[in-house]
Amino acid sequence: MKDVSALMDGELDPKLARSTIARVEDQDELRAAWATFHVIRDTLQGNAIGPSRFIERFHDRLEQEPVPVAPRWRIPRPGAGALALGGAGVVLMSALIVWMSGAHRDTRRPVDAPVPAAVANRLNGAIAVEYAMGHRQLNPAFVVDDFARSSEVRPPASAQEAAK
Amino acid sequence: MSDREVDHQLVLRAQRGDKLAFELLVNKYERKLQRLLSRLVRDPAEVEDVTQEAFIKAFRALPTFRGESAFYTWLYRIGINTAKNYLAAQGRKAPTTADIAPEDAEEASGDDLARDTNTPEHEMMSRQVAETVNAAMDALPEELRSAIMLREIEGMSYDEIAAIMNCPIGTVRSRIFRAREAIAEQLRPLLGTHKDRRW
Repeated sequence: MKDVSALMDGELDPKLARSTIARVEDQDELRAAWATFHVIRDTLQGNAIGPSRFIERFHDRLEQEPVPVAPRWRIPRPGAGALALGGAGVVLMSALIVWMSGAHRDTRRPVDAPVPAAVANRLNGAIAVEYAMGHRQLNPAFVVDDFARSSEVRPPASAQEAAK
Repeated sequence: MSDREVDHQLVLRAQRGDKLAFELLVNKYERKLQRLLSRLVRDPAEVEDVTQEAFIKAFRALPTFRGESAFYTWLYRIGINTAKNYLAAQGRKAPTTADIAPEDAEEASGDDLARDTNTPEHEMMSRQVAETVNAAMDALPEELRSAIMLREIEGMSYDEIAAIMNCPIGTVRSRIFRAREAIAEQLRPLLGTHKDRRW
C-alpha cells in the first residue's frame, strides 16, 4: 500500500509504477486504498463529497459497454516530443558528418558497374515476394511463390554465353 | 513516473480494453468532475447522472484520445459538453459561467460545491467526511501531519518536502503513507471501503 501512496503522488520509478498499477487492478485491498486515498486528497483540498454508490453504479454501466477498439493513435508519452526531436537532431548531425567526410561514397565499386546477377536476383526476388504478399492480403488466391519465381531477374543472354 | 504519466498508463490500459484501469481513473476524478459539473447542473442527483454519462462518453471516446492534452483536460471538456447537452435537451439554459475552463475546476473552492449541491442530506454527508478527515488529521503526530499537508495542500514533491523537513526522501514517503493510512482507518466505516465492495 505504500507503493499505492507513492504512485498517486507520481513518485515511483516507471517500472515500479507499472507493476504497482497492475497490482492495484488485481487486489481489492489496494484498489480500496487507491479510492480512499483519493477521497482524503479531495477532502483536504476542499472537495469533500459524502459517500455514494457512484463507482458501483458506474461499474454496472461499464459492464454493459463494449470494449473500445484498438487506439487509432499512438499516444505520445509526456515529454516524448522533446526526446524525439533530440533523437532526430542526433540522426541529422550524424548524417551530415558522414556526408562531409565522404564516407557515403562507395570506393570499392565504380558507380556504373552492373550489379551481379545473383545479387540482383536475390534483391528483386525479395522485393517481389514482399509485393506479392501485399497482393495476397487483398486476394488470397494469389500464389506468392509463382509470382516471385516469374519475376526473378535473369542475366542477359550475352552474359550467359560469356559464362559458358 | 509523474502524475500525468500515471494517467497516461491507465489510459493506455483502458484503450486495450482494460475496464478496471478506467475505473481507477473514475475513482481519481469523480469528485473533481462532479464539482465542476455542479456549477452547471444544480441538482445533486442530476449532477451525479451527468457525471456518470460523461465518464461513459469518455470511455467510448477513448480510441480517439491522442494524448495531446492531459487526460483530465480532455475529460473535463467531455463533462462540460455532456452537461450543456443535458440542459439543452431539457430546454434549460446553461448558466452564463458555462464556459468553465478545466483550471477553473481546480481553483473553485469546496464551498462552491457545498453551496451548489446544497441539499440537507448531501451537505450533512459531505460535512461528516470533512469532519472525520479533519479529526484524524488533528490526531496525527506532528511530522506526519506536516508531511501530508505539504503534499496535499501545498502540492510539493517528495524532494521539496524532504528539504523542508530535513529528512531523507524515504522518510517522507513513509510519513505520507502512514498519515494516509491513519486517516483512511477513520474514514473506512463511513465510506464502507471494505474488500467486499467495489472500489
